[in-house]
Amino acid sequence: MLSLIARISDAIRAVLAILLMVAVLLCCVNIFFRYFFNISYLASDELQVFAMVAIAFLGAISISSERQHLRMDVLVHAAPRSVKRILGVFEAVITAGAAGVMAWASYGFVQRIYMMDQRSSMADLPMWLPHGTVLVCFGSIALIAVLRIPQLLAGEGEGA
Amino acid sequence: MTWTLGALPVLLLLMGFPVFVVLLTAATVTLALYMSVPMVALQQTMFASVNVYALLALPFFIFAGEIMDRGSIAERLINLVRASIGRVPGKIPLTAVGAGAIFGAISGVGAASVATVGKVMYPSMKNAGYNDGFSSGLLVSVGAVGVILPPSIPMIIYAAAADQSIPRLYAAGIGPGLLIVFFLGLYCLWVGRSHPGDDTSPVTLRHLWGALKRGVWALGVPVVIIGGIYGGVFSPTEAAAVACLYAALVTVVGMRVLPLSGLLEAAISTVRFSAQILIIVACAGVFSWMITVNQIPAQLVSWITAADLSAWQLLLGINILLLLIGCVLDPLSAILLLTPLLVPIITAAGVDPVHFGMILAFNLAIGLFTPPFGINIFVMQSLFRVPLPVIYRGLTPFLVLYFIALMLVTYVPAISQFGVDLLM
Repeated sequence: MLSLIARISDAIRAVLAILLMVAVLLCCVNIFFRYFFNISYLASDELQVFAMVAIAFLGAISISSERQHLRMDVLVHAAPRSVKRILGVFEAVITAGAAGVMAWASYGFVQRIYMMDQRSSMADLPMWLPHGTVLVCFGSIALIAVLRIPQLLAGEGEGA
Repeated sequence: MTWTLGALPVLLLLMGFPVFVVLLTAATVTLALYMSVPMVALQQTMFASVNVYALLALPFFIFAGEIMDRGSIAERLINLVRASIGRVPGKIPLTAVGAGAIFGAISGVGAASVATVGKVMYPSMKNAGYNDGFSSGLLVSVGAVGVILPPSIPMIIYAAAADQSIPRLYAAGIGPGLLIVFFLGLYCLWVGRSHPGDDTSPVTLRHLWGALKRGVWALGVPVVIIGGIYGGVFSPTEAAAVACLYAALVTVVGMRVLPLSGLLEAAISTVRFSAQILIIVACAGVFSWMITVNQIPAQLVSWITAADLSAWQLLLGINILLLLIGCVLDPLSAILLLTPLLVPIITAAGVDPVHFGMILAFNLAIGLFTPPFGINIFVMQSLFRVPLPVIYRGLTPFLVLYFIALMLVTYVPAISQFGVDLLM
């Protein structure tokens, strides 16, 4: 299951990379048209920001999958292996709990704006799409953390 | 409530938890135990923290830096700097200072500068007879200049966290950045006097022209960014996007040193790095909202006021705190954790938040190469196999120089104000 999540998150990262390049191009094209044709695509800024929102939240799934999150681990590095293992299980439990609560809070909000058909002001994009990235992010992070717990208890790997 | 927003995050941080989990846990526990606010507030606040146009500059600048890093820009910059320095003592370390500062500034990430400039300059310095301690100390410390000089990535994060203008912060970074480059340059001149093995070739027009032809495109990046922002052509975010396009055109089409697949790899790497930071930005937004609505900064300000500290004592205390935190925490996380707490305090003491941004950046830049855990040190050690004790010893004079510069930047606001007056 964890390896499947890793493969999916790799694919998501490649899509996000293309999205990043599109956002750069969109920004540059908008500048070009503004200066040379006096035309501005008003939805451009909004779409670029939503691309960044997707990079932030969907990109975090692959970071969790690879255990690449930023942390202050200098003290833990010096700890004995058994302590590291206990801390790893504790971290997985806390991560699953906090991310689970966040996913639950997000689900309520996303469901509400989906029912209301709330749309963005410029691009007329359904707002449940960018907000939904938060739900997918924390739902996935909680799932990854839960799946890691048995591994950690069996003595494989460190941390969530 | 103080324990959920104070002791709990510190404890989880010390236990090595990811920074975003630390912030999210503190926020959710506080909300569940002490506040009668609907849970959906978490979603709204978190989304609003990232849904900020100015923050787009972050992935864009990282992308521009990634493209240049993969496109042999650093080597061309080094050749250009070397060719433009005449027959002076310490020419090779001076080249390292100049190239490190320029590359650090355009990449905005200290560790990348140590690796890229170090790969070329470390063997040259060794061949010229400079000892391992001096060479590694110089390269490790000059890599931190990129945090101070514009367009610095930590400055974008500080601007978002403290609600300050990015162009003002960038302008304010010029004075402190040039000051430390000047100090490092002077020290290299002094050390270079006792190294006759250094490069003593004079500046020749032919050599300079050749280097300029190969390196001029690399110099275009800071020109596009700084000229674009302060010429009123682009916003900082747009300048970052144009820098990406420029870097891609120069490396893929102009110099043909980067294949299209390299561009995609650079974008993938950017997504990884940006997501690492932005997820913390999102959770820090929630944490910051919690401490604000619970009036913790106001309480801190009243304590500090009651302690009757003068501005210089307060700044000294904050400098010590930042130096200690910078030793163990990366600059971006430190900025996101500390800005909501420290900005109200320094504002109450009459310190300009832009000037404080420089103090913060300078401290965290020092943290990048402060023993025992500065990230730049480990880059140097892993790339060039220099033993840690040798690097630590070599760093001592550079730490002294940075501390002197830090005190000047802290207590002489005109150094930061100089760039603001010049450009704004």
